[in-house]
Amino acid sequence: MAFPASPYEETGGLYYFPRMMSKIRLHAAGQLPEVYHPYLERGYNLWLCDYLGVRYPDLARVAIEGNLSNEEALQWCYDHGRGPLSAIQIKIWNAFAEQRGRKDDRTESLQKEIEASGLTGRGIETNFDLFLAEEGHPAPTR
Amino acid sequence: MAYPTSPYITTGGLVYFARMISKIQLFATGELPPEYHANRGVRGDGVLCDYLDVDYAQLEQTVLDRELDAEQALAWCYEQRGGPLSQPRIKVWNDFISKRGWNDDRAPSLLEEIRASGFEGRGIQTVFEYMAHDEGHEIPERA
Repeated sequence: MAFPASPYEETGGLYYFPRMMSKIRLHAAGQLPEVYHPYLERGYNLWLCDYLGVRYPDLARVAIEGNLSNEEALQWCYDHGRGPLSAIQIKIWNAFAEQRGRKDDRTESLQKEIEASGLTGRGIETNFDLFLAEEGHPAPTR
Repeated sequence: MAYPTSPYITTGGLVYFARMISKIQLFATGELPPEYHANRGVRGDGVLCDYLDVDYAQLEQTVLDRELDAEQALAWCYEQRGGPLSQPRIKVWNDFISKRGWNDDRAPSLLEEIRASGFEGRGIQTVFEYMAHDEGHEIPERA
């Protein structure tokens, strides 16, 4: 079993895309921990695929069958979805993804997960913060 | 002179759109305060138009020529881009723009504006909250 890539890793400037692709590959190889399985077609994966105008099952199938790199997979999304994102649209996605959990409809359940994980008091305010803390990824430098 | 609509007001589920349209309408009638003129079509307006894949100048012209309200203007935008935004895309926009200024590249200039306006100590963390304080709009509970 292995953890997915950090949510802060980027492909084409997009946060989270490498994490989604790593989950697809780990799942196909039987190495993705079961706790992640219910979220494969939900949450960030669903939102990012919708943002790109592609369907998650299609992306997963093509990426595995074609053994695509992250860059190749994003290009496939641009070719088969809405086309390349503008710099502004990339910035909007990144800010949305990074700040998810702070003063929104995710806040309450996030706080419960933080408590359940014994991570209270570590300044965790967002999903990304929780991913880093749980999976041991380094915090990004601003 | 009159303030624009609250940024929290939604049109088709989208926050800020009604504010952008109200600024267009107020400017056309000479009622938009001068301090808002420089940002017409840029910042929030420009970002939202990019998100909707429409040109701000064309939107402005259409709103004024056809005397469109916010709902009609959004319908025009959706016609231009070939369909409405999906619900996830609306959510991404709303969360992005309503949190703008918190822990991001807008935070330093927002802090300067808060200080210049004498709003320190009011718990303002986002551009939306600043607008609401500055213009006397209500802040929704979760915002």
